[in-house]
Amino acid sequence: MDMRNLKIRTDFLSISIIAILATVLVIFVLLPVLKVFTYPSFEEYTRIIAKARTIRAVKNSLFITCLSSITATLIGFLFAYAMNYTKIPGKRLFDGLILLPLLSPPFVVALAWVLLFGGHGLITRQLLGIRGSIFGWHGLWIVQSIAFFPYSYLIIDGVLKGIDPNLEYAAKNAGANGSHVFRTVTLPLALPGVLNALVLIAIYVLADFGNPILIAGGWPVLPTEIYGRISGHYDLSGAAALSSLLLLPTLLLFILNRTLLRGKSFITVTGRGEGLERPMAGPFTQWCLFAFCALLTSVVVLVYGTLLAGAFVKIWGINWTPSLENFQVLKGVRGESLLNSLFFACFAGLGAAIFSIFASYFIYKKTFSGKRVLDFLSLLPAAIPGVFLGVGFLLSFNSPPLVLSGTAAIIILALMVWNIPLGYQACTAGLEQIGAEIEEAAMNLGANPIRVFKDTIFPLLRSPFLSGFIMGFLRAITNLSIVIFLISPGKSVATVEILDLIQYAELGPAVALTVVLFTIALAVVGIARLLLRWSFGELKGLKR
Amino acid sequence: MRAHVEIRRLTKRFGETVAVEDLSLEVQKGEFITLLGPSGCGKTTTLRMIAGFVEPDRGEIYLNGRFLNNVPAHRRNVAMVFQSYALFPHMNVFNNVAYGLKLRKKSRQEIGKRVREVLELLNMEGMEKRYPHQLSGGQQQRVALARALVLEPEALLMDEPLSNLDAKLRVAVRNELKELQKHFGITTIYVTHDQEEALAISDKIAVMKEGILQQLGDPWEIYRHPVNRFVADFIGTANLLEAVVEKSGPGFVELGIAGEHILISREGLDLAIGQKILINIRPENLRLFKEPTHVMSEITVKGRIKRNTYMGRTIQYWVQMKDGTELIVEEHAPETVLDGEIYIGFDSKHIEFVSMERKCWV
Ligand SMILES: Nc1ncnc2c1ncn2[C@@H]1O[C@H](COP(=O)(O)OP(=O)(O)OP(=O)(O)O)[C@@H](O)[C@H]1O
Ligand SMILES: [Mg+2]
Repeated sequence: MDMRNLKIRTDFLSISIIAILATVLVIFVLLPVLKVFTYPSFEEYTRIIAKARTIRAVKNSLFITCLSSITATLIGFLFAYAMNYTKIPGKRLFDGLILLPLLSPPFVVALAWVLLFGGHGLITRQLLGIRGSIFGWHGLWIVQSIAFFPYSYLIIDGVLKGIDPNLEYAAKNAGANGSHVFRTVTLPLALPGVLNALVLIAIYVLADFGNPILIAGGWPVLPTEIYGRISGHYDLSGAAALSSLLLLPTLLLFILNRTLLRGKSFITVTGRGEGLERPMAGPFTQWCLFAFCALLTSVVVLVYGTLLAGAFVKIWGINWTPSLENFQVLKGVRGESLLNSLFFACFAGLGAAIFSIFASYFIYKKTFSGKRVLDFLSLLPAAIPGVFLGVGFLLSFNSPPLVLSGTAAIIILALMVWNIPLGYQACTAGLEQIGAEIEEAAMNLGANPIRVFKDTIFPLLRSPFLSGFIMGFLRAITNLSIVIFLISPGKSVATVEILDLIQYAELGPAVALTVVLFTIALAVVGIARLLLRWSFGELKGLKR
Repeated sequence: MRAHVEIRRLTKRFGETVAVEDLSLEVQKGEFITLLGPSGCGKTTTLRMIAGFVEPDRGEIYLNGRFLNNVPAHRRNVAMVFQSYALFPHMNVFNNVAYGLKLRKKSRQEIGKRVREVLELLNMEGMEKRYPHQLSGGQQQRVALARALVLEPEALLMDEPLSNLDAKLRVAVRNELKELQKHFGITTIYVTHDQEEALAISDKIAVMKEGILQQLGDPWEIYRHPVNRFVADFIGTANLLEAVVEKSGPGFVELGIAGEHILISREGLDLAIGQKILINIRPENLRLFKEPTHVMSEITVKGRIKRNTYMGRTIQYWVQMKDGTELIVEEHAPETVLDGEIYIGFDSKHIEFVSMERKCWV
């Protein structure tokens, strides 16, 4: 597509809107990042980096990131391949169930792991009679692989769908057999997308806080170390220094990802192959993939089954009588935290979606000096680990000029900022599709810039707006890594309360609270998706 | 009287690329002018500057005497029909057409009346409730046109409005388009890279190349008297030949062309002996004979047929002359296919002298 540079005389209104967007980005993205970097003195940096425990945490983080992200990507690839290149029974069921982890807090897999393999674990204690538990990196590896592969599935599914089946037929026509087609056409075409998925998953794993804090107990990784610095020692400089250390590899991966995405994609959206059935894998491969998908789906079902069971028995591992006792937890302060979660996530999701739609039009579409900086700042939060952002907000807004600590606003703003890149990307992609001519047509018919935005851009971006809201809401309501640094009495959220319960070994109530949180998230997403379908017909909102 | 649309020395560069260079044009009220040229020659950029989507680097644009450069796009009152039609996908036909009227704060009755009138004129009544994706390409094109015409704009800009239609429909719609334009008497600037379309539809044609205006004239002038090799070649099919003046006298000239000596009687030629010039003779003005003819004013040269293309209504031959030059000859309503040695006959009055000055690359 040619990038028509719309050189509209930048009017006063546009300038004001850009100024507002820029202010938000500078105060809530740039400032926290700089604050974290500059908070510790040079001596404090050297002190913390020299610590044996820090070195171990760094090593562990890198190690588990490599391991888990490669496994998760591989699983995601096989799964996506099965969904696109086979006719195995139960595909729709597999596809639906596998996406459940995307809708739930990041630590549900870990929580199920605790229930199955922990101190009172169903498998370890009841079936195998092992006392003690098998925590440590093995568990973390398995848990993260299961928790993150759905993300890689989503990305790679998109990549495979973008491959024109005609290319594969052409290869067949030239005499290639099934495995040949896979090796010489499908795989090379998908590879840039697969690498892109790998890098993204690596960013997620590196930043993962929920899973290691639950099950990696004595095995330190950077995010849990950072939390430990603050909760254990209230050592803010130490936490900031470690956070900077965590941001470095993430930023590297982020830049790597953007260069990968830019340069190397062979996928061209021609739309010509659409509706054409792909050449299927051989029967043996299909059955192997079926077994694989069935196993994987069973694991996911096991995770959620365990959670449900955990919520409805009296005391896990001791008294298996069915009961609703665990739901008593909803009555007290912990129950109120659910309302806070819902409230904060709604505002954060809405805020991020609204910000994105304006940013995509006024930053991405217009030409002005400083545009690239604002564009970068809008995407930057995608490269910031939750823990880093939490620490950044904590350090930046607890002293004048802007004191927000102890308010709901600090939580909402942090969650909003964290979700801007997703919505921003969705909206800019939407704008690209709309093309410049629609706007020009409106202008040509007499619409001033405000009317152009109101009459064409806004209604046409309704679906990226809604899917931006859905994603933002989900990520916000299930977030633990950011909010854990920002809550204050009366402003707690469900995920933090769940963690708290687990640390007091109150597994039943913890699981019950998780189940309710999950149900609320599902309900909101369901409503939003209905809105999406109602507003714009056939659109796979979440899948974009 | 001042022209209705006046463009003076318009220039636009995108970085290194010259999109439009020093373009001056005058369009009279009610006139239909076409910008014609190959891809990338700056036609769209010119329209976009007139519509106000692109700011020119230099030059002025006037509409009805009003200086347009400082007027923002939404206040220019020149309606544009886009190549992609750019219909609002979230509005139905009625609302698409009514959009501009609503912005102009017309009353509901007036909007309803005017939209109905224009849709009727374009044979689109009964389609008001449909959305753009429920319309065929031709229908979408009509809606785009209706949306522009309903505003009764001071000038109409059209950027290859027919290029998304199939060949048959293109001819039908272009005739309708011309009727409508006459009916409204609206000053129109039209863009196409299809020379046949330009010839059929325009009062005047501006041929452009690499951002530079090559020739401005009515279809007759452009076809019959191209000013340079580019225009001659771009419009229709040309047989461009280099010639040397061998003899010259009052009322006649003898040229050496492709190894033949050809005597042309024509008044008002001022050519020096030995001068190199470029001539053009159109394929439809050449005839083929088995035997040499002796018709007065008919010149005959020998050749050999290399290949042909049969197109039903016509047939084209590639004929090689004795020095190897190839000529294209077009015959109408062919009954047999000719072959082998052949004589080419033509009337010397059909030889055009393509001007050798003025931005010419011989
Ligand atoms: N926004 C832009 N940025 C950079 N270059 C541009 C831009 N718009 C046009 N150009 C360049 O200016 C030149 C003229 O483009 P223009 O679109 O006016 O051509 P055109 O005559 O309309 O061609 P076509 O028949 O293909 O539509 C081309 O070389 C094009 O690449
Ligand atoms: Mg064009």
